[in-house]
Amino acid sequence: MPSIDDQLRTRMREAAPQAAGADDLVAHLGARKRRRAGVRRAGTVALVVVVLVGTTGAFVALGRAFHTEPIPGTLPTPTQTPPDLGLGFPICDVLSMPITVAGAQGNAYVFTKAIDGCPKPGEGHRFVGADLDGNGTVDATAPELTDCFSPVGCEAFAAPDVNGDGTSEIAVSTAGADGYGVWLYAVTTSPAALEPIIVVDPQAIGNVQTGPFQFAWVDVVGHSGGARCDTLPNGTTFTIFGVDKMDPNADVRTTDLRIAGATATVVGASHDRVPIADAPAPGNELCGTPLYGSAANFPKAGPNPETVDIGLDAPLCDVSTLKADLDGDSKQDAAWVGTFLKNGRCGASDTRDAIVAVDLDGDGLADGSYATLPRCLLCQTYAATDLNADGASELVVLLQASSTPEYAIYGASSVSGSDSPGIDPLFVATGNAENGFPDGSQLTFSAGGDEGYSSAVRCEGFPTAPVLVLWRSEHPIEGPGADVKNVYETKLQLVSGAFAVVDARHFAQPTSDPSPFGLTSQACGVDWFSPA
Amino acid sequence: MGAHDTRGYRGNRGHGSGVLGSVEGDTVDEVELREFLRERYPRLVGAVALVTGDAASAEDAVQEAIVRAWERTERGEQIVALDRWVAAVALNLSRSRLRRLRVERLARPKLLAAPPVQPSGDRVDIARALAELPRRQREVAVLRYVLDLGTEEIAKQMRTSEGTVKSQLFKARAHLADALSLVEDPDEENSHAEHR
Repeated sequence: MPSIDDQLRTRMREAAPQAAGADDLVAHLGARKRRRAGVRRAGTVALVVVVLVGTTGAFVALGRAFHTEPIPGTLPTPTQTPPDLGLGFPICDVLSMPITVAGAQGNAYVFTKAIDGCPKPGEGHRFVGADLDGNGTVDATAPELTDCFSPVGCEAFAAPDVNGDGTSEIAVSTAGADGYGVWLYAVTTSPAALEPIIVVDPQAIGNVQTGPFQFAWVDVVGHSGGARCDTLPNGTTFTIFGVDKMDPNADVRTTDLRIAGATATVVGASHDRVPIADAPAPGNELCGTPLYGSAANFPKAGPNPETVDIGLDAPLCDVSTLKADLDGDSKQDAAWVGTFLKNGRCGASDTRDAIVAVDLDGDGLADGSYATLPRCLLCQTYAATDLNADGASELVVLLQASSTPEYAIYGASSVSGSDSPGIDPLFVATGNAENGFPDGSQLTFSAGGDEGYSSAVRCEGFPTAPVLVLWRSEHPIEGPGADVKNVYETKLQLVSGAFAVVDARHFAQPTSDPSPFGLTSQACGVDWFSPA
Repeated sequence: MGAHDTRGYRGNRGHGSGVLGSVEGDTVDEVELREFLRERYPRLVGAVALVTGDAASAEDAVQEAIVRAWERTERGEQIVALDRWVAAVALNLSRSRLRRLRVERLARPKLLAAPPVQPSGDRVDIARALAELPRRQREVAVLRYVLDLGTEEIAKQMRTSEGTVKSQLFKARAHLADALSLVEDPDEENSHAEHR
């Protein structure tokens, strides 16, 4: 009997849909290539400068998208006691945001029809309505919102005036796995109406589907999408963009729409390749108006990235800062991890080298030497703790934030013996190759785990004679050897600026037996792998 | 197709390890392009379609990827392992496109073109079983079982760790085996499990 893998291989290949192809595929591709060249309009993309605080994976995107910390002034108003909006039926889970209607103030509402209580977000019948004159009564509603996916559901997203006519359009979002899908509605006053905006593309040039207008608001590894307004002499255009990020460049497709009433007409499109750092990115505003709901937690994107100037060659982006006594003078020093601003722009943090710098003399600027962290995944300062009981704290840097976070230890140069002041990575002393810590390598270790692998940090003798105890176990998740787990315990002591292995052991145990260590731990004064 | 159209395409004749090289004169190696399209294109489209669930969009993505590769060669860039490069780019394209269109697609099923050929029962079963997988597991399974990529290659392509690939493949395999009621000789189970 064939193995499962062979069966899957055979059946999946047989089941793979067949390419329709073309009579002459080579000619077809050639024509396609010429068409691409024809629609490319170099230099026409008005780039939005980006600040990408975190673009390193879906987990980051989710964490950001559903981050619960409120952004002052941009949260929709969740109503504890649902207002009577004059709808004639009970409602719940009401989100509102202010709108402008011909210069007057009104409100947009996204609400759920209450039937025997309030359904969970993403369930039930959800609508968007508009109070055009601010009197607390909904004057117009749009057809029921569909695809309000759990757990966030549909939210009030933004109320920009995308065509400069003095009346807000209403954007409503639904949260998906990677970001948001956003619908746009047009408000009209006579008669009062709220209509989904429809895309038409007479020239068939747009990178958008015709029909009800929907665009993405997403920023994850490999892809981002969003929208912006461009004010031109002949009026305002609404531009949606999609970016395929293929390091080091990005393919940027834009579609320019002119929106009048409930019709969005495609008037232009472009497709360009630019450095990832120059690609547009969604931020926390749309056409100058703030985003509401969970989308408000998108990082700011704009021409003035938030940077910190610590006196190096360029200001730093995506900076994390930590204060601790790193040189043992009983004064608080500063440590920074960040990426350099380049060409006035902050790039995606996962595509640029980060640096670690410190200010030991208290002048607010980085001291002479700094360390480079190649290709970090959300590198950041993590903790400071005294790992050799010399009165100066070592700096713990998080090299990769994930289910298996990885850490490195840095020491202030004035303590670790370097010639110049600053910060240096701490290495494993030579002659200590036990358990996978090669001689002279920078000490990095992880905590947490995935299937078949787990690791943890422990500590002995802290704070008087600290010994870092690193555990890890691994086993094949299936197949030969899967029933035996190899367990490694390595004890390291920081001596003379390097970590020496003072004890190491390795043993095997049945995979089914509980591990001799747990994943989360507070050790040597640091919380290692303590996911929320 | 005229010579001008394929200028810049240079490929070797190896299956699965083609190299789209730089421009060499004005001659056109249309034969090699045709060979790539004949030998590799159908499987690439099939693989992407298994991930996306939509043959038309898969074919579009693969064609777009090929054209992009073509353009790169005209700029003097070299692409090693063209079929894998095309697979990676096509999956990226389909992924972003799906993200953009997902809501619309779900809301407006009428927009979806009807499949040109009624799928067979097994194809439906496979498609359904794959559709039940999270996207990453689906991609891993297809890259492994349809395109024969190893764990390291999949990890590079998906920009993730080999451990994650193994984990995803393990989960995908378990689900597919269960969903498709696959069984194997217990004696062969260990020797055939693929997580290299």
